[in-house]
Amino acid sequence: MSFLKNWLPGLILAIPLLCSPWIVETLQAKGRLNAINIDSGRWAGEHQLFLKLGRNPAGDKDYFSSDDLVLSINGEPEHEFLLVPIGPQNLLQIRILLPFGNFPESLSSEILESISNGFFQKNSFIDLDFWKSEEEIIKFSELESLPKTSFSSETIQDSELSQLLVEAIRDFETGKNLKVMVMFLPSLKAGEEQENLFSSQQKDQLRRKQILPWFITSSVPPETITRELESLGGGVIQLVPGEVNESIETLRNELLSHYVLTHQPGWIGNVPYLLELKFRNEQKPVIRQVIDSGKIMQQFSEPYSLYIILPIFILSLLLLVLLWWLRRPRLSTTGRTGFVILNPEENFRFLEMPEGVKNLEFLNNLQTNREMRLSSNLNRVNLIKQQKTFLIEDKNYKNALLINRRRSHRTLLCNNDVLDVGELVLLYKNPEAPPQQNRKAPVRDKVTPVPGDKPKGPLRRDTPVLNFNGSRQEFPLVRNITTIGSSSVNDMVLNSEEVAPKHARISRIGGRWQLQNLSMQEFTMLNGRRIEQRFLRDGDEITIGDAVCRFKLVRTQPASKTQKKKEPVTKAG
Amino acid sequence: MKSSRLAFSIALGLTTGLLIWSLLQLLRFFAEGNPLPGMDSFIYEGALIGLVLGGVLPVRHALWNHHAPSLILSPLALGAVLGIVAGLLCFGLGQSLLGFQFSPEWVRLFSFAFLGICLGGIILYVHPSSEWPITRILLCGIGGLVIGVVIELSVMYQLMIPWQLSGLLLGGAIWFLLLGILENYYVDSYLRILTGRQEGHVYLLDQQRHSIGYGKTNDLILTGHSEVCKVHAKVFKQDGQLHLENEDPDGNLSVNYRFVSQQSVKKGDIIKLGSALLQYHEV
Repeated sequence: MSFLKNWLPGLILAIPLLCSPWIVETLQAKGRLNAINIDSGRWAGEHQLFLKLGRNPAGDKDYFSSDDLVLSINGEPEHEFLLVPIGPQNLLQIRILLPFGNFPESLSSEILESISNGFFQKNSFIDLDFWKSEEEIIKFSELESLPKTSFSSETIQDSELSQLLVEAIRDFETGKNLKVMVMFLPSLKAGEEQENLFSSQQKDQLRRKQILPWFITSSVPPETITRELESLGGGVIQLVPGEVNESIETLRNELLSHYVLTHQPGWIGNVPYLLELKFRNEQKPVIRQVIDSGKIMQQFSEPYSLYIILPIFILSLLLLVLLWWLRRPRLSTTGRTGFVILNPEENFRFLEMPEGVKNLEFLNNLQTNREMRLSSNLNRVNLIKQQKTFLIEDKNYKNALLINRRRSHRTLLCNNDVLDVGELVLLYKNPEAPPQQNRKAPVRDKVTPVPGDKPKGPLRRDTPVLNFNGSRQEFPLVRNITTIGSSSVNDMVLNSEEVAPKHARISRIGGRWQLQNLSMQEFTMLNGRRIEQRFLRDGDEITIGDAVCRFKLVRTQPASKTQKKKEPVTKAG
Repeated sequence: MKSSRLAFSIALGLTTGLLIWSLLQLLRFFAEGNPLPGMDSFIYEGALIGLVLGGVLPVRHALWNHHAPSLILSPLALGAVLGIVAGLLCFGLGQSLLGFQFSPEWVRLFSFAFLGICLGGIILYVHPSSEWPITRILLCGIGGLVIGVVIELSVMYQLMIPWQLSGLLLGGAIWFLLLGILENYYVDSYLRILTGRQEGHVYLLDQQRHSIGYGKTNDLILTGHSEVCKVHAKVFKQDGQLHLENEDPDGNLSVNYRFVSQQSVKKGDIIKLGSALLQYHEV
């Protein structure tokens, strides 16, 4: 049974642990992504999809290669993708750059209609953010003399363009959606060896920020730059001086033909992609999955800026310290006189001493959370004001009133005294009262047998002794029956208020020694437990009232030495 | 007492979740790409989660008991180091499972659950508790799984707040709540200091043995008492009862104002160590 009792909670807890995969699977089946998992990693220009396919039916090789599979997106028959096998088996990672545009005719025309009216009004286009404003473009183009100097690729890359990019990227820091960045460049001229307008790092940055670069230029853009911008999802518009409005109209139409914008505010390009993956030689797609592009964008969000994260980090550390600090001990009693209720049901609340109190009767009116039995006749427990504290006087002997766990009839209350009033436990708090240490307390060391009562005569070697460790005094048990108490008729006299006149008896029964309690009011304890009668063993600790001694059967000291020690005592007696 | 402990557990869970999330984001901000060569982001995220949870979980009682900072920081540091190792191990193992046709969700769930079990072991190692090691380790496994499930669900159902944050906050709160419920059930006794500067201080008896005194190595440190020894008394559990043992050479230890050298204590007993007054309670 004990085995079951010990393990049952563990087993009960193990059941959900074992069932949890099934629960998760059931929940997942209701989720949107099942066969294809979009990795929640970083967006690095491509979207990553995890596929789990069985073994290659051809059987001759373990992996699928990109030649085996055909990916179509929104009906576009063969979309480019990159297949990366991960691990030794058939888990594949597909990296796709999802296109913008290429959406069903009905959908895109509906969207176009809803948005084309307010194309350059920023309010209706939250995400289409122009880095250069329309006015600025016009201002530039209206300049009679366009700058004659043309940029070579080197200078663009190193100075102006990189600076422009830095500014643009900073401006676009906040949002997390697609942005179209339109930049005005006075002149773009095909250099001798013009390969790249952007460095690879800048390209990566543009992709990650989802910024689509469009350029307005007054010169004929070179072919390489046009291709580069197109690969980044942008383009170039040539601006003819004097025909700015027409040029901007062209830009508008170009943008609209390139990007499908949603009618849902906050997201751009939030049109579901229908992904179909099939084997080259089969008609039926293996995977047919609709991907919500809005979901992709939300997942591949940028890292938060340091100004947001660092305060949150510091705040959470501070919260941890605050939680620790909140648990500091609180002093509810500073400077006031009264009682702290020590019953945990009462939340250790403080009870202020009422004005002009004469006795403990006010405790009968105490509102407690739990019904508590108090001592009867509390009106007969008088509190007499004495200097700064109270003298407590119990006139009713039958009261179960204990002060510091002892019955007492007349005591001066000290700070931190514990009162048991029936079931109610009170802690007296009065900083002005004398501290407890000053009270004439029964000190254990002083309670030792009165020397004159020591039995005389030579000792046998096997005589057990009671060792009072407070005084290093030994009391040999020479008689068969040794009575102990505060009265002088006893064999061993202990002068203490805590010891009854006839308190206990140690008697020899056969070869063993028995301790017997004789007192009704006071305790006799053996090894910390209250007993009535018990056989003694070597080394037992006996507590009689407030005297503590140790029972020793085999004496460690030689007999002659103890006798020598006793000589002055016997002489005195 | 019980409800306040539960509330404390939940608050600590939320704080831990926030701490982990902000640390993850900080690392993401500073690393910007690959933080460590040859290591996937998944693994170092695991190490960070292990770091914070391994640090906080073993010291939650120390926080509750309002221990001195030095007493909190040393187990915290040990737990954090062990937590990093556990995080690297569990999430690395999870990552390698990707190769065995497990989907990423499964791998994440496995990693979290396994990390939870490892953390359970770390808690027991750093802070030897009194009872129920198996249950606690299993429970920690469940706690880790809860974080994983909550993260997966918040990814799936697109909560308004960032998925990782919501997962860590909710998962952390639920994990700590579970631990709090278990501990409310098993750690049922405490000492309350009645006098001196630490008046009202509550000390949970959650270990097999405790030492009391003014020395810095004690479990319960009594400050501001003139007659307390460096190591004054030892408290230990035996047969479902709490025993008190005197370590003071002057024998200044009393239970219910009776001097003892060794004594079993009952509910409501007043323990006096020198000038310090304590009360033993059971919940």
